[in-house]
Amino acid sequence: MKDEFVIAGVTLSSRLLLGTAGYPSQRILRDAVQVSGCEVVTVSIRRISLEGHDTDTIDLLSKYRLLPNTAGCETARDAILTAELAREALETNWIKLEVIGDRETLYPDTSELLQATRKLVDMGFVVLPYCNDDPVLCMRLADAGAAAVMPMGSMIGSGLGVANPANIEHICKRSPVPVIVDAGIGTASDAVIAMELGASAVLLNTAVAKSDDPVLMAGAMKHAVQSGRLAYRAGRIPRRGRAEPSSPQMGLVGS
Amino acid sequence: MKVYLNGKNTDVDCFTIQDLWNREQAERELDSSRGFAIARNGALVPKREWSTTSINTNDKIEIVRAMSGG
Repeated sequence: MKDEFVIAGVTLSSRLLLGTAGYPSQRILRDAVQVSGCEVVTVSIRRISLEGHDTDTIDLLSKYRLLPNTAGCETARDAILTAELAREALETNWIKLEVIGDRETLYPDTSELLQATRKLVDMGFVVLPYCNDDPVLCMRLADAGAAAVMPMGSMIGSGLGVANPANIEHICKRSPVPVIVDAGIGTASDAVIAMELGASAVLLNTAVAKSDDPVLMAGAMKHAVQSGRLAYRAGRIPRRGRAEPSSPQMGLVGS
Repeated sequence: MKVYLNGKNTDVDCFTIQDLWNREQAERELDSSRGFAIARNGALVPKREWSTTSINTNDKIEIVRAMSGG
């Protein structure tokens, strides 16, 4: 049975979105993206090197839907200009909106984020904001017209997994738009947990790019996301404080 | 003419954004401008306006491209 999800009218069958930064080589990036089975990859928008040192990643990713980000922006104004540049460069109106409030934690600046979301929605963008794992903020972003919300599992690049599963579960239960857990995933079990909590999808980068074998980890993440999704749909059993025998209690030998 | 190109004081021999792009495109041996965009004084210059957007002394020009990112 197909189990697709939809963002702004676009149906996606893979629930894994992959970042493209920090891989040991272009070849490993290409192979990891392929093995992950993802359809959407994130890219950044940066000044070119005037000495011509930057490399072309976009050609390598031409098969995939590109989701440009506003990573590193600290104001709504800078994020909006970056989104406009991304739309012009890549001919997509999708934007992963990041407005960072603090360089130490890379936590979002929530007021700038909300303001930028409203403005970009007005400008015709499909806005996917990276946000705190805060149910109220996620509701406000959806009200502002975000096409999905992307609460953090934990700090970007930290590998700490889903730090506040109760919040992620709340957000997933109540969100009118898809919830994509973004950031903090450290290994496959973290992605499983995010999906078991009801997330529509997971976006990760460092966990694959910086693993010892990114291509192998990309495959692990593909399975983790699928596995977590199936478990969510199947429904976990309640937790109990005592044992419950699984074998029949009647007809025991010697009774 | 002196401009701030990607944050650096640069002397350019270009009258329009299109001239500036043509120079970059030739240096990089690119087929197209896909993946690239340009802002002037904090505002996007759409590609269709590159040839009609002039460059003035002390303009702040940003040439950006899509790169790997998370």
